[in-house]
Order: sequence, then structure tokens, then C-alpha cells
Amino acid sequence: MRYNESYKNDYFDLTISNDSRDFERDYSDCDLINIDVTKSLCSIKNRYEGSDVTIDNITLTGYDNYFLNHSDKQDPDAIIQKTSNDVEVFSNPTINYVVEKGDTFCLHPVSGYTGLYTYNIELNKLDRGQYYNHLKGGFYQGFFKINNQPVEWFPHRAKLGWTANKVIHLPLHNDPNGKLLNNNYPGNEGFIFYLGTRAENKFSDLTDIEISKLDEHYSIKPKEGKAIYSYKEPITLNGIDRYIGYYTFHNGSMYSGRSYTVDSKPLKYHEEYKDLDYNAIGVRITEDGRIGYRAIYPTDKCYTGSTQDVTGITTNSFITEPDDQCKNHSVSKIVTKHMTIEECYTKKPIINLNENKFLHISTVFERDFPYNTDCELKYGDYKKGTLSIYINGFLVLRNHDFIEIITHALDEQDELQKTVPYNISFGGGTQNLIEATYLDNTKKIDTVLERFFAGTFMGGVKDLQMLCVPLYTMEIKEIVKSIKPKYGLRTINGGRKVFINKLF
Amino acid sequence: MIFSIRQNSTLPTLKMKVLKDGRHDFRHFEELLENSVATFAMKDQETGIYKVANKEAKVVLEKPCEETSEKNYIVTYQLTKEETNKPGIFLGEFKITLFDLYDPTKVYGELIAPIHEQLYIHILDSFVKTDIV
Repeated sequence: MRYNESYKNDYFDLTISNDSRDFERDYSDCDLINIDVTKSLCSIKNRYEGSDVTIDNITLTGYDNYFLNHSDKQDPDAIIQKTSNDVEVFSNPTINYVVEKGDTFCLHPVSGYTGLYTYNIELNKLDRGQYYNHLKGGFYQGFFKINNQPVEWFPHRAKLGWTANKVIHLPLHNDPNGKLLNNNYPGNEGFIFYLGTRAENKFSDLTDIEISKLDEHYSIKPKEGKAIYSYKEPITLNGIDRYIGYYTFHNGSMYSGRSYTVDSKPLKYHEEYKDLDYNAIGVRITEDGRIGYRAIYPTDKCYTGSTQDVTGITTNSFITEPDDQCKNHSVSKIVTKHMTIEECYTKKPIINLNENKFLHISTVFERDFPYNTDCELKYGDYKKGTLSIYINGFLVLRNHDFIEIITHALDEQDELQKTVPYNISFGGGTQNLIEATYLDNTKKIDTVLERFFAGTFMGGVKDLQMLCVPLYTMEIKEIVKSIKPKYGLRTINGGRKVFINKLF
Repeated sequence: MIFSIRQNSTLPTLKMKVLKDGRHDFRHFEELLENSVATFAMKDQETGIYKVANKEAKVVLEKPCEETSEKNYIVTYQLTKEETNKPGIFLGEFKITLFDLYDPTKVYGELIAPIHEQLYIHILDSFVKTDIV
């Protein structure tokens, strides 16, 4: 029978294909991070084959997330760093962290000094013969790259995109009165995965005390000189009036003019916002069982609508976009002059958070245009792609207008940002500078990140897998199929009976 | 349409692709197909006895190694040795359960394909006998 125009009124049909090619591809080279948190916090794959890399002055940034232990107060080299609520931390500036040859990406349980929050994790809980770690305020975090060092366990920008597979466990632990990030930052609970910078830059606009301590204890000199024209840069006079003209560094701070003189005026460079652009995405399950993401990207230069002031924005500031009947997700945004914070969730709750079960959740980003070293693809639509979220192999959210996350270093000297950018969190977002230690405790930094990402998932976590390729639906289904008996995952299968109830 | 396979063999795999007849909305169907589940059945044309009774079929990507945003899906079923052990003419059908996009609790519809033509599966007699040990 030959098909002709008359058949176009009928439904789609199938016909035999004589294509003899394989319908499978080998993506094992891109399977870079595999961690079962109940067995080891380090990946079993992706061995680092370089030489040892020493991270000097780790105490400047590593203490911020309790990456290192306290130094002894009696240590003759110890210096006092303080947290924002005046907790004294004795830091030994000579402590280094060595990434040894053969190391792989590792997660670290987050903790803190301030005493304002608890980060508890109950280890090795058992369900269906499988262990998982139940998060009760805590979560895991790790850096996958160090700027300008031969340490990179995951590319900061993969050619086609990336995939993050997680196995989590429900139900949720409930602790409304606990000292938890969730209780202080409502609207941030439920982050199961985060990719981007762990914190904003606490060394911007160095104070005299910081300059002195950095020089004395760490032999780090502040930026000096360099007449730079500020056109298009977000520089203001004392944080208020926009400044356009030459600026220069003096003692690490910015001043107006080609060189520093007594008449130079101090400038404020809003670099913290630039640091966040394309540099934060968190996958989140809401309290009512919807799933989606929250991400930050720069506001379009051509945007002419109303904006909100960065200082006042919270999770209550999101403005939901008009409902699109053709899409099964809703999008909300906070648009400021500097950046846009976007969140996108399924329209309906799809996860029953009260059942005892494991879930496999995949997040896949696929770029519209492949990227390689010859083509930066920096502008406009070239940065767009599709973000998809799957539960147990079933596609539940797909946003074709997703703006790509391109993890990048902070606009700061390398010595002052080691282990801060290029982070992955499992079971939480990021605590930003909540637990940060400061060389100068009088310094106040107006930060944004914790307002939108300081929150944790209160269920269990088991596996984290990161691939530097966007997996196709069929490939995710194959992965889920392979672990389905192990975790008792409920999936939709073909066959005599197709079960679709009580899946997630 | 006819799919031919030799007795006691497992290849070639039966592959069915979406017929693009110039319609503009095939992209929507491909998206539905991506999130669907498929079942295959095969019965003897003469006796009506089922040789494959509603077993799960696969929905796969047509060209997984091509870096393109255009994705076409294929429904496949690989017959087993037991299913091809008897020569004859069989009728085959795929049943594809399509879900409301992104909602696994709502069935968009069930499609039995092919629609316009019968799928005849010819299992041809073979005299080669080998065993894998």
C-alpha cells in the first residue's frame, strides 16, 4: 500500500526500518563521578593522573565549610579568624591541602563554627537491604576543579551538556524547631543537588586589617595599580551612583582615577553579582512534592521591564510568569538590574513525600549548539539549551528555554578562592558565607546566594553520578532498569499490564 | 509489510519508525513516543496461537551518536531463539501507551501499530544448526 495525501488525516503510523546501525552509544568515557555515600565519599571512577598539587593557604577558604579541623590555640603560628557572629577560630596559616596523584572527586560533609546551625547526618540507615544516609540538616559538598591548577575531575563546561543522576530516599525528616538552614531560610528546603560556586567572594573590597593580615601571615599582596576604564562595568561611587571613568587599585581597593591620589574616591565594584552569573543551579523538591530547579544568570541587557533591588529580594520575591497551557511547568523569576534568579517547577505535585522508598532522579542539560574550544558560544541563544528532569526514568519536566550554567572562577586572585568555585552539593544547596571566617570581623558583606540556596533535603541520600554528556531518555531508562531491583524503583513498563499508579 | 527472519535466529531486530508523511506535528508525536512504553505481540496467522504474548518492546533513539537536537525514535523488538523456532507466517503488532507529557498518571492514549497495513513476520526455514557453549 502506498501512502498518499489522504492518509494525513489519520494518526501517526509506524513502518519497518531497515536501518542496521546500533541504537546504543558508548558514553563510559564521560561517566566521571560515581559515589555511593554509604561506602565512600570519593568517586570510584575518574582517577586523577597528574602530579601532586598543593593548595597553599587553604585556611583562607577551606575553613568556611569546615573543610579543615580547628588549629590549636597554643600553636605559635595560629591567628584568630572570626565568624560573623564573633565565634573565634584559630587558624594556622601554614596548613596546606595536597591533592595527591590518584585522588578523585570527593564529597565532604558540611559543618560549621557559628553554632547557629546543625548539620546532622545519620549514617547507614537500612531499607530494602540497601544502606542510605539520612540527612537531618547536613549535606555533602565537594570541589571538582581548582582554577589555574591541573585539577579537574569534571569539566566546567562540557561539549554537549551534562547529566546528574541521584538516588535519594524518602520520607522526609521533620524538625521544625531545629537549628537548621531550612528553618532560617524558608523557601530553600528540598535542595537535592547544587552545581556552581560554593560561596561569594569574601575578599572583595579588602579592609586595612585584611591587607595587613594577608601580608603578614600569608605573604599575599593586594592588587595595586592598573588604570582600567570602567565602561560597562557595574561600578558605583560608594555603592550608590554609577561611576564611568578610569579606576585603579590601591591597597586592594578600587579608587577613581588613572592612579591613586588623595583626591581619589573609593569605588564599589559589584563583582559578587558577576561571580554568580551562570554559576548557581540547584535541583529542588518542594514541600508539596513538585520538582524543579532554581538558577542564576545575568539579566538580559535588552530587558526593559521592571526590576527589583538586590538588597531586598527573598524567596517571596519571585514573580510567576503567565501560565503557558502548552507547557507542563511554571516559571517564576526575580529580575534585578544585575542578575535574574529563575525557578521552574512541575505544575502539579508528583512526588509523594511520605512514602518509604528510593527514587532515582536525573537532571540533564543539553545545549542547543555543541561547544568546543574553537567556539566560545558566549552570546544570546547560543547559551540556551534544554533542561530535563526525570524520576525513575520518566520525564517529568522539560524546559527548552533554559539558560546554560557555565561554572566559573570568582573574579578574585587565585590564592583567595581555592575550593570555593566549581562545587557540587549532594543533599543540599550551599551555605555561602554563613559559616565563613573573616580576617577582619568588622567587615560586612551583602550576599545573595544563601537567600536562595541555603537549604537542605531532609530525606536520605545514596548515589551521585555525574556524566559530561546529556543522556537520552532511553539511556536513563536503561540505567534505572539496571538498578530497579536493587532499590525497588517503580517504573512504567510495557507488557500485559502497564502499572501507572503510585509510581513516585 | 513484511519482516523476514530465519528460523532459530535473533537477528535482524524488528525496527519500526514513525512514518513522516509531510505532517508538521510529528515533533509532538516524537516527544510522546520518548516517554511511552511499548508492547509487542506476535501470533501464528493460521492457528492464531500467540508466539509472543505482549512482551515489552524498546523505544530507542534512531541516531544516538549524531550531535543534533532533532531526535527521532524507533520502536524495536528483538525476537528470541524460542520465538523463532517455528517457521511460518506470523502477524505482529505493537501497542504503544502514550502518556500526557510529563504526567505519568494520565494516559494520553494507546496506539496499536502499524495501522494501515498488517505486519507480517516471515520466519523462514533454516538448516543451519549451531549451539553456543
